[in-house]
Amino acid sequence: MSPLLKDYLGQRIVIITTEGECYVATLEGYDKSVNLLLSNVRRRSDDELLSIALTLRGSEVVVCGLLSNNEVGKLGEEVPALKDTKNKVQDEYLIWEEVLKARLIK
Amino acid sequence: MSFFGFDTSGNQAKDRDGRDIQKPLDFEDTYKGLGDYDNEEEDFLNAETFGATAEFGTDFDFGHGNGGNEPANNANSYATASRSYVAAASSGVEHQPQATLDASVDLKPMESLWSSSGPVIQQQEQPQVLSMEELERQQRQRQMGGQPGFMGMPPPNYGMPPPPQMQMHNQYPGPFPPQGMQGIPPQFQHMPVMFNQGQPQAQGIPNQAQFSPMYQPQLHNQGEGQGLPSEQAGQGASPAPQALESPIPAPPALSPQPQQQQQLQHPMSPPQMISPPHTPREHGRQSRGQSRREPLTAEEQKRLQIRQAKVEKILRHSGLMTPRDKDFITRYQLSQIVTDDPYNEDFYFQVYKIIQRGGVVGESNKDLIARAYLEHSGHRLGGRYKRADVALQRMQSQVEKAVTVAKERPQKSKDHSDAAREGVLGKISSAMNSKAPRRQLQIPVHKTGDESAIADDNSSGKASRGSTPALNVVTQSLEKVEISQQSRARRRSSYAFTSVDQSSVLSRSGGRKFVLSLIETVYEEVLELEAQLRGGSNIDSTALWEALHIGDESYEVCPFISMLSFDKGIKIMPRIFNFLNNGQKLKLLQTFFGELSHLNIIIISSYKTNASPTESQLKQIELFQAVFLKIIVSFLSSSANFIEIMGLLLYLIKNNNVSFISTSKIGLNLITVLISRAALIRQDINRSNVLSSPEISAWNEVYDKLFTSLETKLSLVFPPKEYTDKVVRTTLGSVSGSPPVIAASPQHYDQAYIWQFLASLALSGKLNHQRIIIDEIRDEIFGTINVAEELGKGQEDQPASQYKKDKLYQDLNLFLNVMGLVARDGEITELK
Amino acid sequence: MLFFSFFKTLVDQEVTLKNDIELKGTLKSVDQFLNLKLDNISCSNESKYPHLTSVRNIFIRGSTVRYVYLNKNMVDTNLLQDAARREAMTEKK
Repeated sequence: MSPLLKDYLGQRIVIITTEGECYVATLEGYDKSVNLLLSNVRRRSDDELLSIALTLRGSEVVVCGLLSNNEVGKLGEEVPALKDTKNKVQDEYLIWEEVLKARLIK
Repeated sequence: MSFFGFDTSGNQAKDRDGRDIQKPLDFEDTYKGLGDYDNEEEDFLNAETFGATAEFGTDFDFGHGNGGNEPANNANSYATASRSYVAAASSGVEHQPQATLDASVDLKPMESLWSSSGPVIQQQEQPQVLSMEELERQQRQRQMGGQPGFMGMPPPNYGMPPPPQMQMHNQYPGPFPPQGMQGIPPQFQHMPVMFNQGQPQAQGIPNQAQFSPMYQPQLHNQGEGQGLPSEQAGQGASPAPQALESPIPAPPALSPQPQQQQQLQHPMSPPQMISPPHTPREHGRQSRGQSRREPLTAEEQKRLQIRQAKVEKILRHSGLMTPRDKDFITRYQLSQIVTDDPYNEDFYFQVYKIIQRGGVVGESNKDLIARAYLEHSGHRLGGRYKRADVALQRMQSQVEKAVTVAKERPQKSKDHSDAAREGVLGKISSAMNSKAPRRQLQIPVHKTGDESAIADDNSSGKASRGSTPALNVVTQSLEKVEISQQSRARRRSSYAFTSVDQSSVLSRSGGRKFVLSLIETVYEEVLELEAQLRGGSNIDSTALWEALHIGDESYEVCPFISMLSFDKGIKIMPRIFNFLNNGQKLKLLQTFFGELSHLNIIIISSYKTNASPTESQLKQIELFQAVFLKIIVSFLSSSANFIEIMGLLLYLIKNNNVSFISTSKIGLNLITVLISRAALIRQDINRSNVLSSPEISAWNEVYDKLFTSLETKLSLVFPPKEYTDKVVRTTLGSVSGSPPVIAASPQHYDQAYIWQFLASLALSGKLNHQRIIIDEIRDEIFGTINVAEELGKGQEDQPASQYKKDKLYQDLNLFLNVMGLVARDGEITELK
Repeated sequence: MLFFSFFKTLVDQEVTLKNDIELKGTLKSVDQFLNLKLDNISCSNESKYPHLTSVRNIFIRGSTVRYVYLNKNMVDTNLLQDAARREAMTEKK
């Protein structure tokens, strides 16, 4: 079990997800795949309460930052959106089509 | 996470009649594989993304010999990387008792990892290493044996059960240990307390004693009363019994709510689940929050209450796992971070740390293992900041030493030699002499006796041939020099420069892929041997020897020679040498010298075959000098005797086109190394008169062969101006950003290695040899003097050019001194 | 285990991470999934991404890291090559 998140248990943390979302929440629990159990989940930009409790798949997590002094962490509306980390390839299906064709030829 | 894979659907085993059989669940049946790491989503695309279909092979080469357009930093890597090995190795390798490498001795590393649970843990060690299966078996036995709890557990296992094997690995660097501790879910940390309630005196007491004084004052000092230093809370387990007896101190400022909850809690919980072990944790939690800010604001207090309420909620489920379960999980988790051989799984970290620390005092015996590795893996590339020319310096000093001895030698026939020299160099005032017409070689009419002496030597040598077996070999091969078909083919092939094309050489030794994977095999063998050495077992280097393919006749060019075409092949050589015996080393060098013409490094360092060397090629040459030349020099000076050196030289002459080899820097270096070492031995032996006359005659013969193959081509050892200019420019390019001084004073190609070669050649030769040498390179001598004088004239105030002038004279004089001459201020005079 | 072993040597060193948000901080710990924990982080493009203001200590899921910048002299390349070879050898067995 990853010991790294232990220090954050019960604290307010900032979470950035692969979708490019940014939340502030209290870390209630986690497991070794960094699946997170969160409570009091708020959007970082406007502090809107999104959920009282939430589990977040570890594969969605990019970073968890410990919020200094447990401050509220509202940033304001004009925060620019984060990029997601999915690295979507434009028209990826075309590439796969090519790959498949090449394979069939082989 | 379902740790036990507990099937809640009630799908229980039934017997034939369909009746339920109420069997206790067995870990073996339910646990398998469930703790494994889940696949990431879309992992199945990895193969496509990373091209996993590509064969994972060993035929890669990241060295700088490759196309030449690789970045320079690549080439630097060996220099930077080498520093640490040597640094670590040089510090205190001398006290190196192999015996203490016994794995069981190394207890300290784990101490740091587990230190948070108190040093007491280290008191005992459990010698045997438990595998996961064994752990589980123990577990089951305990269950079946009905032992009450874990009373039977050996003391070292409590607190944090540190399975003995863990103590050998310092899995975590400094800042890690506390976290390693924390990695175990907090409730597990309290297990020991429960296990050992029967024998509480073992560990709980001392810690508790140390704990409580700090605990109490804090309660009273702070208004809120719960501020435990978090480290102490982290140590958690020990104070538990106390907490059990004493009611939880509630902060006066707090609202009664949490306490009420707690009071409610107690009656609800089954006895063994009572929260005591958990209370410290609660404290820890609170204190963690509190240690950050001193006064609690109303808002924070509120939050504190909420948290406490949450804690209570959690406590409600605290009894779900029995201590046994918890212990099992702890062990399971520990077994995953633990290995039998840290040097296998954590090799980089283990060795790197030792290297970085440089074997500082106070570090316990764990670094002995690493030091053993370092020591035996060789100090690799020379030294921390040592440059490539170390080997050259060593060679130079060898030549210089020989020259000095020669100078000291009383000149018996001074008149003769004077007369002879007079004829060759003329009466010189050199300023104009480079343009002076070349004089005829005046061979003195009066016989010096040298020639007849040689003749005598020859005849006597033939007469007494075969006095020793080794010498026999040398003399026999001497006879074959002219006739060997194979060598003639070799010479022809090298003379025709078919070897210039590296790929053709490689293909003649099995192909590039084959050679590259061969190098990897060699690496594997060496790593294996080094591991054996660390483990203290007997080493068997036959596999390594076979992997080197030395003496393998099935290829036209020995694969070993082709291995040296790659940087990584060169770099492994010192470590190979650590595992070879003298005979093997000699055989290796014989092969090496025998196939010198095919050696890539010779080809790229010869101005004939590679008129414009690239930067990466120059780097490769430098690497070769730093690594392999150094091995050869040290082998020759420490282990090889006179006959062996002679044999090597013979192999060189017999199988190669010597005049071609002498056009390459590396080739010239290699010849210099051999003949200067031979000269030194002869000088030494001359004093004690140990060298037998057949040996002397054999040497004379070998030398004559060498000289004959070089005669009339001696001036060719000096590369043409275009080549040297190119090299200088390329070298300058690689050190761009160096001070502008260089622009002011043009760089010169360092010809020291050539003068060293000529000096050692002259040193071993008779007077007539010396005369021929001087005659052939006369222009170069005067040319050098001219350049030096030019340098001195224009910029006398410049220390750089002054230094260069001195350097030129110094190099030149190394050669001239052999003949009792010295060049100074544009004049060649007799050495006094 | 090679990378785990490798990153452990970088503990207490400064590294820069890049996953669009560029972070610089002191590596505090790493686990076998190469999850990283940094202290004293600073975000080199904080004006663009203010999301991590007032965050000093951060946990990064290893799988999302794109680059880790290393100082050249923090890496012993020869040793690393050996370690990689050993790793390959053990996998082969």
